[in-house]
Amino acid sequence: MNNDNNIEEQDRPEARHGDHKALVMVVDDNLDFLNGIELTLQMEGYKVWTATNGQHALDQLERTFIMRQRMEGSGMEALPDLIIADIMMPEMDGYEFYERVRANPYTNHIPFIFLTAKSDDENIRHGKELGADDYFSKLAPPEDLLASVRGKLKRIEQQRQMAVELTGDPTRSMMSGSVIAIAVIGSLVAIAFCVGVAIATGWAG
Amino acid sequence: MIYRKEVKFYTQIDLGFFMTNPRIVTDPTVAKGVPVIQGTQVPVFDILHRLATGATPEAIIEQLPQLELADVKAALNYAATVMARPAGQAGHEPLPANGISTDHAPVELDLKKILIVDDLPENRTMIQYMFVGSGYTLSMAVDAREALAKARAELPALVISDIQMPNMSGFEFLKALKADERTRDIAVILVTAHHRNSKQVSQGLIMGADDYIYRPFVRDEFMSRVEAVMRIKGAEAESRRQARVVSQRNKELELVNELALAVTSSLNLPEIFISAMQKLSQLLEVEAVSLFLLNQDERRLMVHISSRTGKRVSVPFTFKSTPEAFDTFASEYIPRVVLRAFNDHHFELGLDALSDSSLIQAIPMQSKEQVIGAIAVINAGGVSFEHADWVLLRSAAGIIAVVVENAHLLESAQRQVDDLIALNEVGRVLTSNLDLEQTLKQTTLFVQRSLQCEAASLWLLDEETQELILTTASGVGAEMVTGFRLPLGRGIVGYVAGTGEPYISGDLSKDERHFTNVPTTNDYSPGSILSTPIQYKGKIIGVIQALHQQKNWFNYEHLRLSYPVANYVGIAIENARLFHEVQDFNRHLERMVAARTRELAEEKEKTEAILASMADGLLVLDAENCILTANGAAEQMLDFQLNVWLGKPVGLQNLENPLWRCITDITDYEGLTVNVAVDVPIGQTGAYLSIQAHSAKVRNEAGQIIGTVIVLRDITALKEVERLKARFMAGVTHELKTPLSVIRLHSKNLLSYHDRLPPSKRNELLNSIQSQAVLLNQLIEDILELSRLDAGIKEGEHRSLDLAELTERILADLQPLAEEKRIGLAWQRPISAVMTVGDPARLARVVRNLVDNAIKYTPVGGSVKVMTALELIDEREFATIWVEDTGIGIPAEYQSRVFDRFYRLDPSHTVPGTGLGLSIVKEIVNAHDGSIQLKSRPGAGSTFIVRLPGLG
Repeated sequence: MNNDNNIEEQDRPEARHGDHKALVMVVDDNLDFLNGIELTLQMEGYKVWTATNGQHALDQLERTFIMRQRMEGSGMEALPDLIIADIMMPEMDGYEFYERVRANPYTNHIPFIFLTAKSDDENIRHGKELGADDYFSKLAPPEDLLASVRGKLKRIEQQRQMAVELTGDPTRSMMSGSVIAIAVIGSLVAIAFCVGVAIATGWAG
Repeated sequence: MIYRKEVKFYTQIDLGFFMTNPRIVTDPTVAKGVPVIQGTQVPVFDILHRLATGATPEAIIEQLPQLELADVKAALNYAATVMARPAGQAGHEPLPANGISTDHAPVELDLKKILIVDDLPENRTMIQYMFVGSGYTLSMAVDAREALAKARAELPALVISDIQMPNMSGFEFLKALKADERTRDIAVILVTAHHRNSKQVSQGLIMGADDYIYRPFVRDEFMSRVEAVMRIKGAEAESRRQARVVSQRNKELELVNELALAVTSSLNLPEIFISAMQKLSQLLEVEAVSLFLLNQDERRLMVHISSRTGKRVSVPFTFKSTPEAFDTFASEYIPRVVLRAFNDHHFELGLDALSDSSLIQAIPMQSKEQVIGAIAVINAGGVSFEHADWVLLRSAAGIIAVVVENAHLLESAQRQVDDLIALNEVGRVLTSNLDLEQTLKQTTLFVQRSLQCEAASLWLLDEETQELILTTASGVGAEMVTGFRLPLGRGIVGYVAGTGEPYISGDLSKDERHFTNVPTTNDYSPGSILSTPIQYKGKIIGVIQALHQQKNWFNYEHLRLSYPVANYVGIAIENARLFHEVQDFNRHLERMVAARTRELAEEKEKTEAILASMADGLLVLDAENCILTANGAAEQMLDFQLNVWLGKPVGLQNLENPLWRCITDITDYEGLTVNVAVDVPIGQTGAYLSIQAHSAKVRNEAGQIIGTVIVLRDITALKEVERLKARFMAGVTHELKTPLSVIRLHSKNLLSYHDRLPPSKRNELLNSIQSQAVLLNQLIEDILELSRLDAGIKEGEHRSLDLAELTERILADLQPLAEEKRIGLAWQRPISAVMTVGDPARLARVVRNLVDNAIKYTPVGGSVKVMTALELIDEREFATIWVEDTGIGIPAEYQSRVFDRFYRLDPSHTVPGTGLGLSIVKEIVNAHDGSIQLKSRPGAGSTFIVRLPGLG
């Protein structure tokens, strides 16, 4: 089960640094399907991380992040460029995993695609409602998924190019965006606190 | 005088013997000085009594030989004497000339007598001479004193008096004469010598003198003056007499009137008698008055009532006249005077208060020339009666006779009315009583009573045999004759029934028609018979017979009475017959009604039982939405009590309850049928009941809505099943999609990247596709199996089998799989067969799935132990199989879920399987009435135990 040690993952760092291949994270509890999608993505030229449930995926993300941060200071570059996740999974299902990814400012920006056997209208709506970038049935033609993956990655690449042109540092845009976001949130919290105190002390009246 | 004359007239007693008869003496030896006939000891009363009771004088002499006829006459004379004697005079002294002596009797002047008063003889002679040949009787007085005495004694009509007289003058004499009441009316002619002495004349006239004559007399003048005065006196006397007669008559009339008023004031005979007697004794001022009535039967006079000086005599008279006396009395209609007739009987008569000198006067009472009785007046001796008294007595007798007759008439009318009333009552009783037997019994009793006969019988006509049947009888020998039959035409009964006419036989011994063979008691033989036909609507249905021992007993009155009785009986019999018919019909109807009622009750009971046992709630409302009925299920669902809410509108119910709200909404809904499902919370548990309410309006024949029927169905289980089904379907879809998606992905990878994939990878993908296809197939198979199990296992596929043998075969099949994982498969073969009954294929599946699961979930190198045996639990035999592994074990919280469909312990599908294996096992075990048990601990392996019913 929690066997992440496949061949592709072993040579991931080299692949990443070598030809700037995009990194896709796939989360599914069905190993057969997980193997299949991994193979497909690899064949399409992506680097693939796999996890068998939301918790494992989250653990992997955090571990990678901390490890990379310790080694290179930022660690942002080590994060997957796209996440594809199943919904029905043990320990942590796809929905919760999505919420956790979105809740983390360092992973909030990563495009997220649901790929699930739960293909009834209600589930699709729910997924979209959450803000997932796309939603696919496992029975849908793999080409559709691949097209969506390509599109999302292309858009990310465009944004990265834009950031390089502006800052000269391909990682800066993401980084600065995140820092600005944290700063804004922090100041907002401070303002809210001040207003709250003011109201409490009757300053408004 | 008048009295004497009347007595003569009425008694026809010869008054020639009015003088004292020396033959009657008062014998001191006899008590109270009763007068007896001299020389004998025979009391006068005895003779009189015998006379009064009708004995002739000759007969008396015969009876009493010591007497002579003269003695009888003397007794009669004595009676007459005593009768006419003035009050207070006793004994046999002669009556004074004026027998009627009263103080108030008017003075009668002697119109032929003239008193001459003159002191001079020559004058007296002169006057005497004047009267020669005149026809007047002259009386002479020499002075006024003598004249007064003579005038008082002789009562002359006229006094011719001289004025100039010694001692007492003519004026003084005149004064004295006028002052005396007795002599006041005597005419006075004064004689005077003083020629034309007008002063003297006027003085005399003023003093009351009628005339005066001058001396010397002229005869013509003298006589004419005397005649004139005498004429006046004659006229005066006449007028006085007439006035007396008138007053006498008036008095009589008054008395009669008073009596008439007294006796006619009532119609009650005893009352009349009492008031008449009291009135008579009062009016006549006599000691006692008795009323005798004629008793025709005994031919005697009976004292009916008696009264003494206004008081009723308490002791009744027992006096009875002899029949002979009665005959005389009754035929002669004459009043009799009986002297002291009761003297020797007065003690026993209770008249001891009467003096021994009582006399009795009897006056017959006549009505329609028939004597019906007499009034006897008992008076004290010597008290005589006036003419008025006799008139009164006669009138009283007549009035009382009429009144008595009236009363008799009234009485008989009353009796007839009573008869009619009784008859009417009988008619009412007979016609109202519908019990025939009782009716007939009452009839004969009534006939017997009302006709005063000894026996009565009722015969009814039997139409079939043409016989008369003696149905009911009463009186003598009643029980002997009942049921006796007589053919129509035989006997008097038969004759009457044949003719339809009533028949009276006065003398049965001479009646040819009389049928003598009717059984009867020995000592009873009827003398006369009255037979009346009973008819109804012109048809003769029977005969009523009355029997009496006496001959000629029955008369028209009896017939008159028996006729309506016969009619009533006819009606009563018909009524009773009709009533019996109606009663029979009623009984028939009642039976039918009872049967129908029973059927209905059974039906109702059945319906109620059905309603009560219905799982669905039933609520019936009327047109006003009031609760008419509800069954137990409805009460439970709606949480209310029918007996509290019966007849109350649903709108008053607790509308917090969504079901009541729903029902209220339903009743407001105008459509004919409504179907709504409501979730009702169960108390505070948080659980819900799903109830489907189906309502239908009930219409009557006219199409009006008369109520609503609401059926409440608990669809909680149904909904749960649906929910489970939906979940299962979702699960099925998901589970089917999973291998399909893998197959699709792998196929795509193979197709798209075939050339770039190393052969090992291609094989891997193809193998994966293969296994996914197998899984898919397995899944479909399992799903089908489950749906088949849901539909139920057919008993026909059951047969007895040896669980051990079956297990052994399967273990052999699975041996390679175990070896593949290097798992030791331990099989503990039982000594004997483990027999059970079931579907071999399915039971094989149970064993296969269990062992397969055990192998699958046991890590490489582990072991699986299988054992079968017969178990005895609570005296029941079970064929049991244990499958024990050394696998990962199952946490307690998941143990109950392992049998759920699509539940798997490895969500990532490392262990191949459909997730339905244990579900199928459980379904099959349940379908075989068996049980499955899981014992497991994480890390310590699991043991599944399946128990199936043994053969025993």
